[in-house]
Amino acid sequence: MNDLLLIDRGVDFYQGLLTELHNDPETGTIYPCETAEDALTRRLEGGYAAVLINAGTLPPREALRLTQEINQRYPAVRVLVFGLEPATETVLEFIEAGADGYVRGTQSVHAIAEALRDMLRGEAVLCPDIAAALMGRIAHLAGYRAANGSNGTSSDPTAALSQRQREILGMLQRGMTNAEIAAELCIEVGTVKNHVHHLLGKLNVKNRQEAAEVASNSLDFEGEIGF
Amino acid sequence: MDGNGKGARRQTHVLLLEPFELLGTLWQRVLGEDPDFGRVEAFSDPWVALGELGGFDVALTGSSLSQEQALAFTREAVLSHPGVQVVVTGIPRTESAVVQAAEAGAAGLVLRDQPIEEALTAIRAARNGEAHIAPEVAPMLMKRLAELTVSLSDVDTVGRRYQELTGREREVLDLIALGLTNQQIAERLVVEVGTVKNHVHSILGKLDKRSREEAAGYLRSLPPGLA
Repeated sequence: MNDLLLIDRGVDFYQGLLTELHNDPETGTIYPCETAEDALTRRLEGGYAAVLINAGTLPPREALRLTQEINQRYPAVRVLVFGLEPATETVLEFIEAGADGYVRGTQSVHAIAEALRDMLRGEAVLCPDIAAALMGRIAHLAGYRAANGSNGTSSDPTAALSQRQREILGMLQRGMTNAEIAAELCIEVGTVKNHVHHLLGKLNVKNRQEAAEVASNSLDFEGEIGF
Repeated sequence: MDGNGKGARRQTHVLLLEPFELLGTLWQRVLGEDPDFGRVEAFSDPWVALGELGGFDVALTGSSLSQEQALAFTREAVLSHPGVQVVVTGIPRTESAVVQAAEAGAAGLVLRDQPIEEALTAIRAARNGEAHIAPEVAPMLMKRLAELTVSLSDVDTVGRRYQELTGREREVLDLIALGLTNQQIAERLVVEVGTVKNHVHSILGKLDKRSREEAAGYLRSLPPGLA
């Protein structure tokens, strides 16, 4: 069922994996192949469930490029890389490239088989350093994108608003006037006007009524909650 | 970092943001029983909590907060106190909730259906710059990182290309960014103009830029602290 493609210059792991996965009901046939080119041009059309890449035996960067390529061209095919240098940054680069599982070094065929089973189940066991680096990088990239004009998945216009602007938008939604908002927030009316002006700009609308409509139509926006 | 040195181990000070008095007290009792934890203070108001954050190692958002409130707090905390690790509790086991928490900058994720031990583990891990991510949840974050990387692939968000420059090349790049010509750079560094040209050629190649202006722009776009 779950046929596997093993990209490896050597034969050691092929033999080892054959033995290790011999009686595994989850995994199907393992097809060995030696080069990235071979994998990309001929083999991958065959509908494999997963590709195993021995990064240790491929030329530098080739395993990374291959991971990227498979992830983009065959998004349904899962990729497990093993034989990785242990550095956190190395592992993270492979995850960025779209790897679904990893094994540092070539500890044992057993470890590789375990990671493979996790991956086929839709799971991944991350080392604590990798998990922390993964979350840190996601926050960094999300912050970078937010700061440089988000054009990504967040199509909700209210996502671009600051905390204060969200708060004020919530009040606009409730039909409050600038003076009422100023009194509620204990700030100057001029400051409120400024906030409203910027908020209309960010939402790309002409007046407060339109802003209130955007807020009401937004799935993500909950003005009253905030803090 | 603390190793196993006896007595040298520093306790972890935890700030808790939990509007429900009763839950705050429960947390204080649980953490208070564990010698790993030092000062544990509960706050019900997020702004007051943000003001006090400085003296703590880890901030924990309680599960009576809405996720929206917890993430708003997390964003503000990460911006104002980058050294404090935020652990978010009460996260629904859905892809969007998990991804949003990571994007907000959470250092630890505790899901709604996870036991209290998981929260304690998350706090300890966060303190050590590590994280534990449930194997079923990890693929959501791995996928998100790969997506963000693809959507930002034309920008070098972490200065990885800059890292590839030699010390001399970085020096030359600084001078390019100051608007110096090759001739002026050669005089400044007391080398041949031909050598400078070689450096410039190599810099443009490594940064994947077509002109000195583009390279200078790249240098300015790097996150602070890198260049």
